[in-house]
Amino acid sequence: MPLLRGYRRSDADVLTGVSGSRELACTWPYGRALGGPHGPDAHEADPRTSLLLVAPATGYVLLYDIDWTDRRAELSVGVRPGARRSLDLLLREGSRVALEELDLRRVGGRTVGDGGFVDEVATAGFVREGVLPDAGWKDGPVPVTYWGKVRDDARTAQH
Amino acid sequence: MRRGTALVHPSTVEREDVLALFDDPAFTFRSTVGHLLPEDALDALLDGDVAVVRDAGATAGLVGVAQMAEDHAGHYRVDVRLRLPYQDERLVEVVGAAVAHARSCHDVVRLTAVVPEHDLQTAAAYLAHGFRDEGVLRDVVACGRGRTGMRYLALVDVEAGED
Repeated sequence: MPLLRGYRRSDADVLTGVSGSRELACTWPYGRALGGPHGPDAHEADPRTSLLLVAPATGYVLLYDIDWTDRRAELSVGVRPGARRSLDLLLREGSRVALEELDLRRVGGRTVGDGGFVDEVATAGFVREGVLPDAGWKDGPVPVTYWGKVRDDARTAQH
Repeated sequence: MRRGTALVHPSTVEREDVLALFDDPAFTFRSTVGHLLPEDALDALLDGDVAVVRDAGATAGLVGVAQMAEDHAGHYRVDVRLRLPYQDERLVEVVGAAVAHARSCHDVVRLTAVVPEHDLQTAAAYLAHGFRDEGVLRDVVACGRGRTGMRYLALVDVEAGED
């Protein structure tokens, strides 16, 4: 069976950690919502423009702002703290689903701040496309970095 | 159908067993991306006249009949999908049961089946029951690293009577 499948109501415990900031990669204190019940928010989002996938007991992949006309989407991946090594796998699988199974041309996302999971995002084949200084807030102003992966793009071919 | 195989109402089956059918990307019941859909969307796929195929006490697949469109009097779409692996003769058998089910519930003039272009096994099962291959709409949906078409098959009762 594939790593990811569609969200089921029995996956609600996974959703308690869906990041409201929709960062490209994040972890969460398992079982505790980050700033509110973002899971249901994600789940109730317009199904025509978002898709919430779950790797049971590991994490989630949220494809949002799906634009079927321009064939692109934004990606947010979250794993339980103990499953941080799964980030790379979920980033790759989430983008593969977007580019291959949904036949989109581009998947993008953002990281907030310089720390966190920038290395994981780059390793998973995302290309740093731009930085917005002081566009985010984590105990103070931090840069927001935009990343992208484009199908059949030489930029990401080595991954 | 073969002894031990039956079409039963979904309410008589464990819901998780039915949802688990969609975990396999090859289980393309009414959608080629059922494995990616949230539960609410699966509920929509299971809406209407859907029966669960039970085989030897296990949930083995789904059968559905739905009116093709509100203004299509007598025109229904039939969907059959079995969990892999299965034998060809079993699939033919279940398609036959689905057709009989459709006719028992509705005043059918035309039955349409739509299957992925590469799914020759399912197409053959419909052809075995007199469906006519009406052609393929190519590259309709994404499939793996490429795209696949959808094959339309139809059984028109007037034609069946003329045969």
